Order: sequence, then structure tokens, then C-alpha cells
Amino acid sequence: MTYEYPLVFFTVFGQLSAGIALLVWLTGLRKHPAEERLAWLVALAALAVSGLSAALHLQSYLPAAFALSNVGSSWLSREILMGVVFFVLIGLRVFNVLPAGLNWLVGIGGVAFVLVMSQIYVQNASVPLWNSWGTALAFLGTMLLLGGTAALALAPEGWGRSAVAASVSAAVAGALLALSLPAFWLGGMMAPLNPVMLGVFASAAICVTLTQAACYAVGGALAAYGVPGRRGLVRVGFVVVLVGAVVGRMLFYAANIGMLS
Amino acid sequence: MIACKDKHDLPVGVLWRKVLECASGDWAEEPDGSYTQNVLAYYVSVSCNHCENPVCVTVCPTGAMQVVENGIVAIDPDRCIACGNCQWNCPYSAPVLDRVKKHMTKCDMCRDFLAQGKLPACVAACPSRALDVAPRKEAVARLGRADVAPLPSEKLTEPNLCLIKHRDSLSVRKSAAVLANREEF
Amino acid sequence: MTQKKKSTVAFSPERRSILKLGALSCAAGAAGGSLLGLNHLFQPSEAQAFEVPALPEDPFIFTTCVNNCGNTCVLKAFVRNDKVIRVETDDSVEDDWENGVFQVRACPRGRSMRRHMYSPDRLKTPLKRIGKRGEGKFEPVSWDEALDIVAASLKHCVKDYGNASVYSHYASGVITGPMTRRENFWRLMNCLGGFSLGYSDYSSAQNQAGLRYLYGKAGYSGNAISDIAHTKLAVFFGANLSETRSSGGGLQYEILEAKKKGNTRIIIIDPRYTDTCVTVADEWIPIRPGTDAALASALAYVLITEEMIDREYLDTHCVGFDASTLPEDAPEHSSYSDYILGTGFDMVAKTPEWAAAISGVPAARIYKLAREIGQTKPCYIMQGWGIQRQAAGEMNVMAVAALANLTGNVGIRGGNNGDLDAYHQSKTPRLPVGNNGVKTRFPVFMWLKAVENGKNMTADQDGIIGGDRYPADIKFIWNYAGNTIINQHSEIAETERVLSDETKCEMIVVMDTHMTATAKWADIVLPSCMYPEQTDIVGPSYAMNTDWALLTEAVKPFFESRPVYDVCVDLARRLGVEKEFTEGRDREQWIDYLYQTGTRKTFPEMPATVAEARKAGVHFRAKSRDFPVPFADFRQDPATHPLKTPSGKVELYSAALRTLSQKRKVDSSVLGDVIPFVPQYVATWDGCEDMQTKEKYPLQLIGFHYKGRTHSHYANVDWLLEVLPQTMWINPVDAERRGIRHNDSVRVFNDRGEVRIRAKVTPRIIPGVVAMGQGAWYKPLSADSKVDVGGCINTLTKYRPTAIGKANPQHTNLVQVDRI
Repeated sequence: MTYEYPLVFFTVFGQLSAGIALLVWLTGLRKHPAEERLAWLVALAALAVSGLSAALHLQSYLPAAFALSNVGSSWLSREILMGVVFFVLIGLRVFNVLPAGLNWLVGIGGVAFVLVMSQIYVQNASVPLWNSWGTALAFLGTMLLLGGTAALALAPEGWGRSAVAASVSAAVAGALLALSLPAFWLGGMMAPLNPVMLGVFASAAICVTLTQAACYAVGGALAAYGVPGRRGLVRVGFVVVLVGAVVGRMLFYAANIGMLS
Repeated sequence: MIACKDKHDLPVGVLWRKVLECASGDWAEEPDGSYTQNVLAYYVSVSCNHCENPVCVTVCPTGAMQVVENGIVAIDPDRCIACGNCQWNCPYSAPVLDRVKKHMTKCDMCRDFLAQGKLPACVAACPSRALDVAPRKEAVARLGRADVAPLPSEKLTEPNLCLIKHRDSLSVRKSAAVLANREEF
Repeated sequence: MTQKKKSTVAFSPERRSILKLGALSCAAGAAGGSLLGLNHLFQPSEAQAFEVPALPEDPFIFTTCVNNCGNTCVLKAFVRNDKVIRVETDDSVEDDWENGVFQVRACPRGRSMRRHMYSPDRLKTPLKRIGKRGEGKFEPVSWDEALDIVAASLKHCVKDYGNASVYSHYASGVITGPMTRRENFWRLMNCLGGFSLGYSDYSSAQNQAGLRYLYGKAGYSGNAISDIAHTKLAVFFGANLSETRSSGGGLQYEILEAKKKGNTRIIIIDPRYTDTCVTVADEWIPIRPGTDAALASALAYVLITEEMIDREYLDTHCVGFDASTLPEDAPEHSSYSDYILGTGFDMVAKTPEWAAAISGVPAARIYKLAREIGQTKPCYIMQGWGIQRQAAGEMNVMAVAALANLTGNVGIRGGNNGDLDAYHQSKTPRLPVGNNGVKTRFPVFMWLKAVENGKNMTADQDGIIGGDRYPADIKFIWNYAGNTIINQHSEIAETERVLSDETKCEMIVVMDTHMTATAKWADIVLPSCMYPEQTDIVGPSYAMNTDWALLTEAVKPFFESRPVYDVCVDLARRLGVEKEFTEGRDREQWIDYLYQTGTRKTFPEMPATVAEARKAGVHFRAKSRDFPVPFADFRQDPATHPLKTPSGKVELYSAALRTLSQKRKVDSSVLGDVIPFVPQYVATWDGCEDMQTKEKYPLQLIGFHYKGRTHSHYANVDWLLEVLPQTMWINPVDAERRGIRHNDSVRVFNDRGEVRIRAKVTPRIIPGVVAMGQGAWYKPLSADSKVDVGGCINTLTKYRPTAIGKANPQHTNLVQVDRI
């Protein structure tokens, strides 16, 4: 089983960035320009971390110039394209080239980025445990969860109740979606895969998913408790949730069990 | 496997050809201490199958993975960034990262030998003459595509691998249960 | 009929047509291309699709692999900067099996030659021991210093202890090639009056001993394997040709062709479902190790009671089938059929039911097999050398061969006398050795006893030949190209005990290519050239059926390694016999001489000079696959063509064995230490019926010849270890009981020692038995701990020579296995 740490961080931080973009739009954070700017900076930083992680996964950098060659057929090529587009969109918002009225565009861009990213795995018929729509739901779920919790952490003082509600709903929905992935694995486990490895993976899956759920619950509770006024607690809650997301993603990459494994 | 490693100078950890062992069977002990069993075993030697529907080519972001002459699927080392997507998508896990060369590598059917009218290294080397190359349309028409355990289903990528089946060949549905030597690759 | 071949890949009517397949260069992005309409945006143009890499142009030489797998193979070694950088396969001819001309393709071992040549444990310089013997601590010395020491020791031992104290140890790392083989040292010693050489070997000693009593011929006596094309049924007891005769020019290929031609049904009786079972067996009959004689006896029972025997043949060609052909002085009821039918010394009828409990083969199957054998004429019954490498191996050998006599299959086409192939290959010249003044010899397996107590070894008790008593203790061991001091000889701990006493054996010289376990016990280590580093004349080895010859070329020797001939010349000079030894010839001149007087006599059509022959490569000569049938003359007319037995006939009752049993002391406290005079099943120590030992060590352990190595040769090549790791086979039933899963680390142990190894949990072995490939390199955990982590089976074997042949019972072991 491989853990692919670079890709764990690439996907989690990429989804964090997209989540922030989405929530900035949905909560109408443009009404609070100072916090909105911070949010965009955080989103940009997260995406930068994501990109650097992805680079660590590679062995050879010079040919990266060709990475957009195959958008015609390769979801990975498309993901790189969307990543670049999304990065540019956030950048344009940061430098105000794009007005706040176009936050929705950046938000959609982020969602598209996450969706395209998920297809790399959803459409891989050689890895049965990835090869389902559960993977897309998990990625989108992580995006919503991290976006919602980050929004609470970045929220201005006296933020509107509907904005808070939107953030909380996104976080809760996201957590549930992210935790639903193991249900999809039950189907994948029927595939012709090494029974010994599946057994080991199943045990790991139970432990890790419980840990993940605990992180989400604890982190969520901290955030909820801290929302009215205790910013520090909310931020701690966010970090705990982020840890849970990383741990869950490690399990996802450990599910890279092919037919000849 | 060894002929291939020798020709292509492959380091330990990089295998372009694998020999899969398929073994299955149960034993029953009789009261008198004798045994009945239904054991069977056979081997399938497999490398990159230069598939008719090469998913590795589809998913490669840089276009490094290409179909070249004679349906051979080959990696352009100048375009490969070693993202590993080809390996993840290959049902046979054929592409392998060569940490010395810093790019993905796999069987290229000894293109250089073929260009000189020589046989690929593995074909020439096999002491029991179990391997061969042939025009794929003919071969597939006559023998069909390899669909025996412990291989993955041939429907995924339409491998240009044809087997003269062993007398005890099992269906691909049994693949995971009967692959007996994973630790050797 | 379906082909019973190993699977994988097609057929090719015309290989040449590959280039005419038509170019098919299409750019990437075929499938799912037009989703975003961007597929043309960033595609490489066709002109950029990358080129076929150019092949480097290096010259090649013909060289070879000539180790002890029974085969010689041809290698094309590509050379750059005096080193071998790549190896290709023999492609000199097109395969034509029927006419005996086919490519001598190397197996994975030979194929890994260059990795082996330049591996990290290759010896570079001569070494002198510092520290205790066996510690493996050495300092590099010059060749002069090393040879001064060796020569001085030789002089001293010859003078003070006699020529019989200088022993050239059993070693099989070089089997073919007159200038590379062991004869170099023999010739040297014969210039000094002679030396000690053991007789027989570790491969087939019990087979040779048993068949000498039965047929008057020490093994190598069966119909060629290609004869199975002339029969509908072949039954193999063991004989794992796919792994033991792996060359593309050898029997594992021949049997595929022969089976195809004859459409022969092949049944293989073996504790393991070997690779030979994978390729050619129509049925596998699993059997407990050491019980082949029981199965054979039960088959005999059915053949006799159901009247499927060749009565006439038994009366005219055999002695002792029943009372009518017993010698006059034979005890009553001592005939073969008495033993089988239950009127013999034990009064037990050898029914299939009796055999089922012992051998693990169901009684019903035994009845059926006997009927198949009895009703198929002819029937090719054959045995490998695994069944004989047991404590009562001679009996297994003779019991199986007896079946061939019961059914009248001896000396006929498509039949067989029950032995392995007699082999028919063109002979390769040997360096003439002269006369050995030491006439007495001991069985090779007894060498350690000869070190400890040689002077007390006798013909009656220890199998000495050429004299009644061995005249000396062994004081000097010359070990060239072998690993049978430590790695390959039984009970490593015992050998270490004896050799640690430097007053016993005073000097051990090891000349080899790598730092083996044996080399670690040397006093002087000399680095030898490998096969591709010395020129020579090679041809088919002892287990091949073809005619060919090759004059090899060479690359530069590795560091200070030298060819053994040159080393012996230097020794000869120091010992004052240089002229006699060289006859004025250097190494190349000897090759020329042997080529003219040897090879060109066998192949007059070969080029006139060595230089031309080297350029020409491999020289093949066609030979029909229908070989002369062994014992055909005897079968036709036993009176005018008697066997070399005392009676001239097949001795199912052996008076000679009876005489031996009266002279040789056996140890009645050791189960199975007996000398019977008819082929029979003997329950032995560490066998499946040794219930006392089984209380502690319930599993039988056998070795086998593993395809990843040739004995211990090539055991250190990383490419081979990667895909052919050393493991111990264990049945899931036994594994589960011990909580062992596939690839777990386990410890295997008995009173002799402990091995740590990975478990291969597989249904391909009979329950109650575990198997470990022999030849893995002994690697003790530390100087104090004798736990072997290299997986060497001789950590666990027992140094207890068999009663009849004084031979090596290396497959007779009981062990326990635990998870680590």
C-alpha cells in the first residue's frame, strides 16, 4: 500500500482552496472586504502548497511543459489545466482584476477543478476501490467540509446568521459525503483483488475512518463552540478537521490496490 | 525476465516482464493417511501487452506514452514527468518507475531488435520456446486475447497478448484467488 | 490434442515478416479525444513521434556457461572496454528437434552471467587467512606469496603423510572445458606421484550404487527421453527436468517435443507439483519423500497378482524373481516376489492398502496406476535423482527399476529400464592426467571422515575401493570451483567442528570466483577466472543428447584472477615438475593440441585451426532422436550379452548385497540402517515412519534443485534473487496449524540447527512435508549464533552416509517449523 504523501497534500489543499472559493461566494463574503481579501490570500496560499506538493510527486520537471498536451483525452492533463485556470482566477481576484461580483466564477472554477481532479480516479478501471462515483463525492465532500470550516475560521466579527448557517451546512454536508466513501468500497471489494491485501485494507479502513470521523466531530464541535466570539477555538477546530481530512486521504491512496497487487 | 533485464540494463526493482504463477487446489486426508487433491498450477509470462486500446496512452498528460510503429506502445523519455498515471491505469501494472533514469519505463518490444529483424530478447531467450511474436490481427483472430487467471480481464484494454492455453487454465474471475507469487514482483 | 505446453503467446509462421507488418504510427490521444475539442491543440506532430533507439555496436564473443546443471549453454557476450556489457542467446541455427540440432539457449542462470561476473563478492586477489579458521578474516597477498605457501604445504604433506593425504575435493563448478576443469590440479599431482580423489558424487550416488547391484551398471543407463515419443504412457518417479535440465538445448526442451510427437500420457510421482508437472504432466501423484519403494512394491503386488507381468522375461533375464531363479545358497523365502506377496522375511503383503498409509497415495490410485502400467506396452518408467538422495535411497532406486523388469520393458524402444536417460552426447576433450599412484579411493561423501580418521576407513565398512584400507588421513584439501566443504555438504555444524581442528586438516586451499561459505574456511583463497574470462573447448555436458562443439573466446580477467592452468604451472615450477606438467605447452597451445587430437577427431569437418573455429562459432551435427536402446543386446540374447552382474542377469535378488550385509556392520539403533538383498521399502531415521523423532520434529524436509540457481552457483546474483527468492514450500494445512501466512518469516529447526527463511504457502506440496531449494548460501546470524539466515538446507541435514553406497541422504530430514 502506498500513501503518496505529495498527492495527499495536493488534493487536500487543492480542495481546501476550492472550498474557500465556493464559500466566499455562497456566504457573500464580499460584504466584508477585509476578511474576503484574507480568504482569497489563504485560498491562493493553499493552492500554492497544493501545487508544490504535486511537483514533489514527479521525478522529472523539464517535460512538465508538455503537461497540457493531452487535454483531449487525459483527465490528468485537464486537471493541470483547471488547476492553472483556477490559480489564475484567484490571482485575478486578489489583484482585483476580476471584481467581487465575479466571485461566483472563481467559486465555480474551484468546483470544476475538484470535479476534474476526481475523474482521474473515478475513471480508473484498474483500481476498483477508486473506480466509483464515491470518489467524486468524497472529493467534493472534503471541499465543502474544509471550505465551510475555513469560512468559520476566517469569518468576520458579527457575521450574519445565514452566512454562518451556510458555512455550517456546507461543513456538515461535506463531512457526511467524505465519510460515505467506505460504503462505495464495498462494491469495489468484490473485484478480483488480492484477498490478503483487501483484508489488511479493510482493517485499516475501519480504524482510519473512525479516526477521521472523530476528527470531524471534535473539530466541528470546537468550531461550533467557538463561533460566537472565540476565534482561536474555531481555528483549532479547523486544524483538527484538516488533520482528519489528511488522514482520510491517506487511506484513499492506500486503496490503490490493482489487479496484480 | 533476466534476458530483458540484461538487454535493457534494468536495476533491481524494475521488472519489465513478470512471470505470474497460478496455483490452486485443496487437499483431503483419508483415514488411512493417504491424500486426495485437485491441485493445478501454471505460469503466465506477461509484460506490457501493447494493447489495442491502451489506456496508458489516453491518460498520459504529456503525450509521452505513444503508439508507434507496428502497434507498439512506447514511452518517450524526453516527455515523461513520471507522474505514474500510466502505471495506475494499466491493468497489468506494466509501466515502472526507473529511479536512475527518472522516468517511467516498460517493455518496448525491443524495437531496436525488431528494426533489425531480430527477435525481442525474451522471445529469443526462452529455453522452452514458450514466447513468440506474431502479427497481431492474425494472432488475435486465431487465439483470441488472453483471458485466463491470474490476468485481469482482457476487456479493459484489449491486450495484444494471445495464449496457447494451459490444459488447466482458469477463468479471469478467479484471478485474485490464484495468483501465487506476488512477492516476486 | 491440446498442447500441454507452458502457456503464453502465439505462434509465428514467419518471423521474418515482422518488418512487413506495416507502419502504424499514430499520435497519442486516440480514445475519448474530442471531449473538449482540444485534442489537436497541444499534440506532437507526427514528425516528432520519437525514433527507434539505435542499437549500440559492440563486438561479441562466443562464450559459455559450463556449470553442474548437466548442460552446457552458449552465450554471446558483447564486450566493451574489456568487460561484458550485454549477453544474447544462441541463435546459430533454426530449431530442428527431430534431427537433434536446436539452439542452446541459456537458462536464467547463464543468462545472468554478466551480473554474476561483476557482483560485489567477486574475489579480486589471493587471500591469506588471519584469525581462526572459518572466521572469514583474510588479508590480501601476492600470487607469489600465496603459491609459495601452497607449494610448501604440498611438499610437506606428500613427504610427511604421503600422496593419499592430499585430497582434491568434490567440486562441480566447471563440468566442461579441458583447460578450466579440475584435471589441471590432478595432472599436477600425478606428476608428484598421485593424490586422493573420491569416487561417485553427490548427485546420484545411491542410484549408481543400487543399479550396479541390479544391472551391473552404475546409473546413466536408461532409454533416452526422446523415446517417450514411442510410447503412450510414461511414469516418472521424480525427475524434475524443467528445473534440473533447464537449458534450451537440454532435456526440458526435448521432453516437450517428444511428448508432442508421441502424444504421450505422462504421470509424475513427486512430493511437489514441480514445474515439470506444470509443463508435461497429465497427472500428478503426490507422495511422501522416501517412500517410493513402498509405492513401487505395491504396484508390483498388483502387477503380480493380476498377472500383468512378463513371466518369460523374468525367467530368462532375471535372477530372484521367485524361488525358481534364486541362487542355491539363498535363504528360504528370500525372493523378490516373496517380499512382495507377503511370504518373505516380514510376512507382510505389499498391498496398495499397506502402501497408502506409508506413501500417502490412495490405494485406489495405486491399483489404477498398476493397471495402466501393466496394460500399456511399452511403458516408459523412469526415475529422477531425488528419490535416491535418501537414507535408503538405493532401495528406492532398485524398487522402481524392478517395475521395468516385471513388465518386460527393459531393452526395448519406447520402454525403459527404470533409470534416467543414459545420455548420448559428443565428447569434449579432457586434459590428460597421467597415472595416479594413489589407487585407494573413498566415496566422496565420506571425505570428512577421511579428514578425521582416514587411516581407519576400510573397504568393508566404509566403501573403500582399490584397497582394503585407506592409507592416510586427509591433511591437505584442494578445493577448486566447488562449495562442498561447507555449503553443500551435510550437517554444516559437524564439518565446522572437524575442520576447526588444524592438527587434522592442515591446509585448505580454495580457488573460486566468489567469496562462498566454503571460501570462508580456507587458509589460502585464490581468485579464479570465470568462464567468459578464459578460452576453452566446450561441448554438450553429461546430461544432453546432442553433438556440438564450440571454441570460446575470452574477455580480460577480473582484477588479479587467473586461469587454473596457469596457476598449476606456477605450482609445478615450485615443485620441480614444470616440464612434465606443461610438456612445453602453454594454455593456448594445449587448446590447440586438444582441438587437433580430440575435437577434430570427433568432428573432422570442423575448421583446420583454432582461430578459424573460434570465428565460426558453434558447430552442430545432426543426430536422430532415436538413440540406441540400452540393454537391447541383453534383451535379445542374455546368454551372449550378459550384464556385468555376478550372474550376468538382472539381480532382483542380489547375492553381492547379501555378502556385503555379512561383512558390513550396521547400526541397529539407527532405524533403517540395513542392507537388504531384494528391492524393498525401508523405513528410516528421519523418515515419515520415524515416530520417535516426529514427536519433536513432525515435518519431513526435502531439498530440491531450484531454478534460481545451479546448486550454490549464481546464488548471489541480485537479478535472480529478485524474481526467484529463496523460500520454503509448505502446504496450507500445515501452515494454518502454525499461523503461518504466505511470505511470513519462519524458523525451521531440528537437532542439527536452525534456518530462518520466508514461507511459500502453496498447495503444490504434499502435507506433512516442507521443501527448501538446496544451494542457498549459508549465512550465520553472527560468529556465535549458528542460526542461518541464508536459507541453506545443510544447516539441517545429517552427516550419516547410507548403508550400501556410503552416500548422501540429504533429503532425509525431520524438522519443525514455527512462525517468527
